[in-house]
Amino acid sequence: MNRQRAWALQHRFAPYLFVLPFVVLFCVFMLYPLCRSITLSFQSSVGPRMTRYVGLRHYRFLVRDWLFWVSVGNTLLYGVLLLAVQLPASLGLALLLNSRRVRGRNFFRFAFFSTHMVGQVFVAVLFYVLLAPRSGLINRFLAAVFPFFDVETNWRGNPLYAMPAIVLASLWLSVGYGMVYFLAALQGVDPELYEAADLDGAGGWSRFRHVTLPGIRPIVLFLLLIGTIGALQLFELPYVFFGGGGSPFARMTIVMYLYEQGFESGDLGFASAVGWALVFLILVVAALQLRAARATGEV
Amino acid sequence: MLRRGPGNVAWAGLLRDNLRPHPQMHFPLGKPIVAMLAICAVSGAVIARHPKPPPRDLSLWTFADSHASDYRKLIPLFERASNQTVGVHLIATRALNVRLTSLFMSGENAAELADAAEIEISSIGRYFRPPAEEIGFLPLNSYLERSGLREIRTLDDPGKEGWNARLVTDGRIYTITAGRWIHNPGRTRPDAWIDRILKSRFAPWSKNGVIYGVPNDVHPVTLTYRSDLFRDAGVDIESAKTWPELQERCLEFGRYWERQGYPRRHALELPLSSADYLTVMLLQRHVNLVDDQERLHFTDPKVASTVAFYAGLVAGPRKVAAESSGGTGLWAGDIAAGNLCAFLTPDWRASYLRRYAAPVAGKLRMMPLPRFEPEDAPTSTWGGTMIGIPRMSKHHEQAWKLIEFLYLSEAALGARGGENGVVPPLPEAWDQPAFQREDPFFGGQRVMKLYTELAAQIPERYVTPVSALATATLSVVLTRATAYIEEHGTGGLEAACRQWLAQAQADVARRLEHARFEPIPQH
Repeated sequence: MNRQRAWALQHRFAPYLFVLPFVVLFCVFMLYPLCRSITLSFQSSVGPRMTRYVGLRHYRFLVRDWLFWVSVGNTLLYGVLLLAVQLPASLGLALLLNSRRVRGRNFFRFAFFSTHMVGQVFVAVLFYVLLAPRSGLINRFLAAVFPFFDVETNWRGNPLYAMPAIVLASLWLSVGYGMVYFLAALQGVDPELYEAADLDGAGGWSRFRHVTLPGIRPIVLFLLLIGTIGALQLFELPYVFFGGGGSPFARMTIVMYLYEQGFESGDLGFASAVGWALVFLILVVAALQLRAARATGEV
Repeated sequence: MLRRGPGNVAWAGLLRDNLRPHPQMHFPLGKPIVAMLAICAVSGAVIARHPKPPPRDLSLWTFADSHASDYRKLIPLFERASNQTVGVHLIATRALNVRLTSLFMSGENAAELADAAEIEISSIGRYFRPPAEEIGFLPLNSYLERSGLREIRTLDDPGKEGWNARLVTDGRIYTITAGRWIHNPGRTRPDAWIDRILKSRFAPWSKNGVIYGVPNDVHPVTLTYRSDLFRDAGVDIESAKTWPELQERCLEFGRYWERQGYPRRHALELPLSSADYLTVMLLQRHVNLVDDQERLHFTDPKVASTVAFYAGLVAGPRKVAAESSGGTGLWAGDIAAGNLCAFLTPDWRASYLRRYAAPVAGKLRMMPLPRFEPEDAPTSTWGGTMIGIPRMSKHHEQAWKLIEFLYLSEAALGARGGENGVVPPLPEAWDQPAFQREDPFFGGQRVMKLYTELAAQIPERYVTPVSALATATLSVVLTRATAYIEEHGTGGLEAACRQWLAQAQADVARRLEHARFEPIPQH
């Protein structure tokens, strides 16, 4: 009887024991810090030992701070510019490398994807050198091709060029990543649909518009959503590329603003408030995207 | 043995499926995973077998590899003299700051906490945000007042006017007056480190008069130029005693080289939108945007005139300056290629030149900075490092001894002046031969002597939690000023700068008020 009861208990509790390690780690390293950051966002602090309740003061300051809105503007501009170029470029590459007429497809697929494996810090250092005034390869190339281009153009120092420089570096990093998803999606499109389109006399553009594009729509939406969230969290690339100096107009992103408040100024309470503002922004943007997708029947 | 029961049926099934001998055994997740597991196991074993370094009595954190290599050479001497072992940890600046501030904030007496840590001047502001009694570093005033006491053996010992020393034989205090040691009954103690170290160098490392770090350096600033290229252009740059005169010389220089087919040969190196160099010029004019009492000085008339003048150097029809291509290597490359021909040079930058710009050896010369007004200093200061003791360290006295040895002993001062070419903040050390030598890299000029002559005149620089923010805000004003020049020329620029600076001051004041954690000081 006792043994049977023991087996019954084991049967009942075994699943909980299996998930216990994850639950404990999740609670300690995710849930608790998340809840703590909510309370911190209503406090001014110089560390957990020294805090002072300030109510909504951080949030009030945040919505009136021009630098925060500059960082929001920079981040959104980055996201729009990046996705506007990245998605078509990734799709174009995927279409090209999905074609059986291209030789060495596997090599090129790997080559284009490999840039994604090096990480943002490496890319920032690489583009720091590539975009250097006078000696940078990109500047020298552009000056050789376009005589009106000034080889001394300072991408990092000039607020006009700062964001295009970051977008350029991000494209190098992420076009191959998008390409892999599009390749997988393209291979999932039913070949019979193409055959049917051929029988109906569809040309290349019609095949793409009426067969390929509807077939890969979920992936477009997925990349759009992931890309937007990634763009809103942009930090390492501009942080290393700009080196923290210069006018904050050009270089400041939301997470850089958060980092400077939390780790440069040491106000973890205000940084937590910025963090929650970012969460809110991500939720709003994601909700708008999903709603737009639903309206067009993509989900 | 497994017994049948309600819960172990699934177990038994799993075991049966996985342990049943297969005709061809294979790992279900594939060979790459097996290879990765094998690599993990081997590397784990290697790491586990790697002997741990022996625990050290004292731990020193530094961010500069040149400092770390100097200290590793010096520390055996300290270890022999003190019977203490010391571990030197080289940690990247950002990592060091994040680790140290996290430890200070958490209040944990962590085992890995440093007993002494070096901090770079651009990072120190964040440590000063808490109220004075909660700052993570130990106040050092009492240590500086009771150590480094000056002693003389006889009244014939050398000294400088105003020095106070205890005569070993009678224990009384003597002061040098009119070149002689005279008994000074009004003085209770001889000079200690606090008197012997250059006063202006305590400023960045202090809050409300409490000193939290011993300065490593002075970092006076000169103007270095390509003497060969200026000579070829027939321009005597050293005759320029003021900044406007310098701009005229630089315009002459630019016109000459443009005629020779070098339109991209620029006389000066100055950034277009970063206010770092502008801050150096403001310090030369004794202006700190934020002073030690956290008062803001954006609306000081000198700031508007300096911003307007600087903007005219980097933009518009009288532009004479361009930016460096990037980090140290690219900067040195620009100098070697003759793209940038004159540049602000603190002593640490001179040592970078020696290391990275070998092709221009013998072609460089240095001069004091030109001034805006006669009361400006002929130099400024750029950069700096301090060493402090974390309050949570359990070895305050030993750490202090280590700091004295590494920063103020003769061996340490010799190393700093010799190989690194850094002027120490101890004026009596400036007479050492290392600071008197001719420097072949600078065409035989005694550049270290020039640095030491200027070091005594460096302006005070204060660092507060909002200093970095103030510089960033000044960058915004500078960006607006350069854009204004490109659009409208220089007419009305200074008035526009005054308006932007007033806005900048209001903005920084608002941030200062929001970030303040302690009561506002009464001015």
